[in-house]
Formats: sequence, structure tokens, C-alpha cells
Amino acid sequence: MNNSKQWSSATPGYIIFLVDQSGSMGEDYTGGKNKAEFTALVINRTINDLIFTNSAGDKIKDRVFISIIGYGGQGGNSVDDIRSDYLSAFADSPLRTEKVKKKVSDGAGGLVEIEEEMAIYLEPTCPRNGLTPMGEALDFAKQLIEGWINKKPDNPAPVIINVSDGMPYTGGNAVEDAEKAISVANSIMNVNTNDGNPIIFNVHLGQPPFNESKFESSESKISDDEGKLLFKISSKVPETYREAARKHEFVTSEDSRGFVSNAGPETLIKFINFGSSGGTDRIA
Amino acid sequence: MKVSIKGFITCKSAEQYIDCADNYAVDKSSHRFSVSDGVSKSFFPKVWSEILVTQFVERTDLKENELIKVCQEEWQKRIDKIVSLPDTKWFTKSQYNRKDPALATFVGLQFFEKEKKWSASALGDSFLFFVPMGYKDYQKELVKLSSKVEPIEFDNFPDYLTSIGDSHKGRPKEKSGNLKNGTFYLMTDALAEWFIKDGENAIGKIKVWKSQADFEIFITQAIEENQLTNDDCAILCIELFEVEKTGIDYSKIQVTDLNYLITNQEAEKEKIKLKKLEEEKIKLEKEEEIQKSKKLEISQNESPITKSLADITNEDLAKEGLILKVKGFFSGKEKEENKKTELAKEKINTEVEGIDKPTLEQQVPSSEEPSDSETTVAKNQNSENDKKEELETEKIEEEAKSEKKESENLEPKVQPKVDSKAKNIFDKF
Repeated sequence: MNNSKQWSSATPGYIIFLVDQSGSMGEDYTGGKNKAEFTALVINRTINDLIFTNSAGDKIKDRVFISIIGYGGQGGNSVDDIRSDYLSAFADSPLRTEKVKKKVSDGAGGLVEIEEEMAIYLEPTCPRNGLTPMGEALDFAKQLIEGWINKKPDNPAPVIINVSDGMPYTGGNAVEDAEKAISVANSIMNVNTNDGNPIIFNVHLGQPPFNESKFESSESKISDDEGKLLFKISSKVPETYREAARKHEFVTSEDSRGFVSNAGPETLIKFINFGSSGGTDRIA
Repeated sequence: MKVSIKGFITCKSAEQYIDCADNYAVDKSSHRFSVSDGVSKSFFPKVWSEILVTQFVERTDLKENELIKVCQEEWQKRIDKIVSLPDTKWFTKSQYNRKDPALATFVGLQFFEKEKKWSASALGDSFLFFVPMGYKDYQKELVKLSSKVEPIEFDNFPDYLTSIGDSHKGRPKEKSGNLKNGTFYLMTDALAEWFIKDGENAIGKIKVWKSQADFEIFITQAIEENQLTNDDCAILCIELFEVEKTGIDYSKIQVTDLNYLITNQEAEKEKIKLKKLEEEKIKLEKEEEIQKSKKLEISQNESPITKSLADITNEDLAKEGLILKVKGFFSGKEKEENKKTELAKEKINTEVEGIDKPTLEQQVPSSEEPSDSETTVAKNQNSENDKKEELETEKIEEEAKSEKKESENLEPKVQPKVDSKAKNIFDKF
């Protein structure tokens, strides 16, 4: 079955986070945070969760390699490697840690507030002159995937999670920009690995009232342009990911594409957790 | 009764013995044996599995509930100590503060000498099997014990004992019986899954293992052939014979000590590290020597003419490698010889390029004897001027480039090729 290889220390998985850092990510989103801030928070939390899931106490098992790629973040059509490393290296050297308060069970039926440290890997940035070179970012991701497969042919197929708030735009012809993104995405989805094709999941941050469109199986059911684009650049949800989708309260069918358009904050959190789950708890 | 025991243990491939979360223990005085598999996603599972197996075989004075409490206290004590160390990582502290527990499967077996009975308890996907000697129908006579229900499927969600509180998962299954000639096998999940699939053939394959090395060879091969999941593996084979005789005599105990494997491997790693450091040191020293001798060679071969050329001529011209003749540094013979060489070169170049270049001979009137620097410099004045112009142009171009860069910084950047960035990432794969 495709996309069924387990992440393990011997055959780590590969997640590529593509993060839109264009000027519009500075718009308000939720809880006093703008889109860039909330996205950074969710991705940082996800990486923290991966660290805890793969921790055996004082050591982190390198079951996954992570790349965080920002686009538009240095202004214009920049595409930057923010951080690429194995999970243990992320754990060993975060940019910084933040103290957060959390309530946990006291083991006797009650709750107790504890202080926890959260490691920070992605700082929110969205310069005003940042554009949305999504096609270019996908192209860079494709190079990384090809390099990975070349070195690690027996590993699980890589996963791309693209977080954006708009259509591709490099300052020229928007139609061409969209076509480029579609073309590169399709070429990624046609790359062959021993574990099937690489997967692209896309989430588009919306605005209230967040009329979400998600995991559609047919383009005809989508009315907005952003949704249609996301449909075209998203992989079908592999069978091995459908249980993970269900656990995150997403309803999928056999032909569902892995995307959410106009996502609200809760959906964004669930979607990124789903996308980075490696399928149904497929950790050896 | 005579008892012969062999036990082997190994870690997942691509990991090290120190990462192994499986454990086992044997105690011939208490006639107790146990295996445990720490759940890898939990907090210090290998500490938990080690405590479970050792406390079971040693603490014969405790009932099951009391035993678990004692194990939990021991685990907490050890973790408190680890986390109090100054170099504890942030993620370890976070999990400790969150009171994340350790989880592990468990199988325990004990013999009752007088009664000639055995009893066992199992929780999780570690298994106990008993194969009676001289069986007639393997499948019917095979004794199997684990808390897994039929049909048995191995996954990442076994039942477990938790190191904190009483939210254990699943209920232990128990079995007992009369001691018979035959072999008890206690093993963790990867081997158990293989054992069940391979059926009777597994017995013969296990019999062949005479050492840890034999065991590891089998494991490696079985993983390569997709007969075995790549996972930590632990097995105890407890063979009983002459059961009718009184007493229990442990004729052979050959059980690999995991701590011994860890110590050896860590020592090997240290050796390799020191060797690498030594090799790097030697390499650096050699490189330094080569650099030193190169510098010495250069300074020895350096012509004084070049030094005074630098004084007299334009610095850029000297950098371009023009060799000009200066006053008093060439002997007449040297000058002649150099001139001849240059003439020859010019001739060759002209022949090759088909360009009617004036040769030095043509430039220098035959009656003239090259004498002092002024004359020689004058002769090459044209080419010097050309060079100066060239360099001026280059300078202007450089300034233009840096101006362009500055203006680019004010405008949105267009991303150049990303190949080098990708290459940097490839190095980390």
C-alpha cells in the first residue's frame, strides 16, 4: 500500500512546512494574533509535540527530518530555508524557549497548573513588500524531495504542508503564477518513491466567518478561486491517512483532496496536526 | 529437575544498545523469570522495563499490587535524580513537570519447586509460550499467554503497566500448570509475531542460536527478508528436563547482559572518536607542514626584481603579473636570454592566431641595447597604459555593481537560483 511506511530511526520520515510570509499574513486572525503569529504558534507547537512523541526521556529519536521553508519573508519573492534538520537537532537547539502555563491531571482526579517550556523554531514575519511566490516555494520543495529520495530511497514518502493566506503572486501575471504552482505541485505528486508519491497538503487561512471548504473530492463542489486552486495542488488523502483524518474530526472519502480553504484557527491546528501525523500513529 | 537457560537481547537496527527499551531478568534462587518491553513513546521506558523485570524476580515477598507500587516508587526516585541534574534538557523537564509516565508490557513466570508447578502473568504484546518435549500436535499442544485477544494482531497500541498512578491499560492474563519436560519461551512483540507466523519452524531456528552473535545474525537477516519487524528484541529460552527428579538444578545459564553490551559499545564508540580526533590532528599537522614548506619555497624563489617592480610600477600592473625589467637588476646575458624567449613566444602566438602582431624584435630597434629601466619601461608603456585603462574600466564596473546591489536592497528581491541552499540541506540528510 502506498504511503504506508512507518517513520522510524532507521527510515525517518520527511515533513516540509511551506510557510507564506507575505505582507497579507500581517492581517488580524484570532485572539489578538495576526495570521503570521498564529501560524508560527501552531507550527512551533506541532514540532514540540513531535519532540515529545519521539522522546524516550532524555533523548529524541530521529524518526523525522523537518524543513521549515518561508516564502516572501525576506521581501519580494524570497524563498528561504528557515531551518532544516533532524528532530533531535531541533530539540537540542531551539531559537529560544518560552514558558507557558498549563493545567494537567494531578493523578488523583484533579487538575494542577504547571509551567512548561515551549521551544520556538519559527518567528512570525510578514514584511509589507513580501509577495507570494508559492510556485517557487513548491519548486524548492521539489528539489529537497528529489535530494531526499536520492539519499534515502527506502524511506517513507515525504509530506509537504503548505500554509498560505492567498493565491500565488510574484508581482507579474497572477494567472501564470497560479499555473506555475499547479504545474510544480503536479510534478511533485508524480515523483516516484518506493513508498508511493510525495504528499502535498494545503491549508489556506481565511477570515471570519470562515466559510471552510475542506477535503472535497470534486472541484465542482468548490465555489471560490482559492479553494479551486488548493484542490488542484493537493494530493488525494492516502488510505493510510484517513484514520488520522477521522481522529482529527475530518470527514474524508476515497477521492478527498487534502486541503482546507478559509480555515479558522481550530481547523488550522487540527489540519497541521493531521498533516504531520505520519498517518495513523505510524511511528515504530 | 534440570533447567538450562539461554537469553539474548538486541536493539533496533540503526539504534544502539543504550536505546534498547526491552529488558529481561532471571533469578535461579527465586525461580523467577521475566521480560518487559518499554513503550517507546513514553517517558524513560527503558528505566521502567528494567525496574519491572528486576523487582519481579527479586521481591518474592510482595504481592502483585504491592510489587507495582514498589516499582513505581523506584522509577520515580530514579527519574527525580535524572531530572535534577544541571544539564537536563528543556523537553525532559517539560515531560517531568507534566508527570508523563513510562509504559511497558510485562511477562513474569515462576516455578514452585515443591508443588512442581508453574504460574505466569502477562500484560501487553510480550508473550510466553511453552512447547512440550516430544509433542505430537504442535498447534494443539503449544501453550500461549499474553493479554492480546484472538485474532492476534500486533500494532503500536499494546496493553501496558504505567509508572504513575493506576491507569494501566488492559488486564493481565494468567496461566498455570504442572511442570513438564519442554521449553518455556518468554519474548517481546517482534519476536513473538515472528514465532507465531513461523510456527513449528521457529523452534528449530531458535535451537541453533548458541551465542549472542548467532542471535544477532539471525535478527539482521530476518529483518532484511521482512520476516521480522525492525524492533528491540529480547528472548528467554528456559528448557526443562528430568522434571521427575527432585529439586531444581540450573545446569546452564547463558543470558546476555544488556549492560555489558552497552558498556562495550560505548567503549568502542569512544575508541573510534579518539582515533578520529587523532587522525584529524595528524592531518592538520601535515597540512600545516605543507603550508610552511610552500611559503619557504615561495620566499626562496621570489625574485628581487619583482619586489622593486612593485615599488616602481603601478600596483595593479604588478598584480596582473607583468614582469618589467628595471634598472640594474638584469645582467646583460639575462636580458638577452629573456628577450629571445619572448621573441619565440610572440612568434608562436602570431603563427597560431594568424595576427600580424608586431614582435618585440620589431618594437626594439636592432641597434639599441636594452640598458636601463627607463628605456625598458618606455618600451612597454603602451601595454601598461592599456592595462591601466582596463583596470580603470574594471573599477568602474565594480562600483556600478555595488550601486546596483544597494538599489536592489531597497526593492523587493527576486530570488536567484536556490540550488546551493538545497545542497546545504542535502548535507544534513
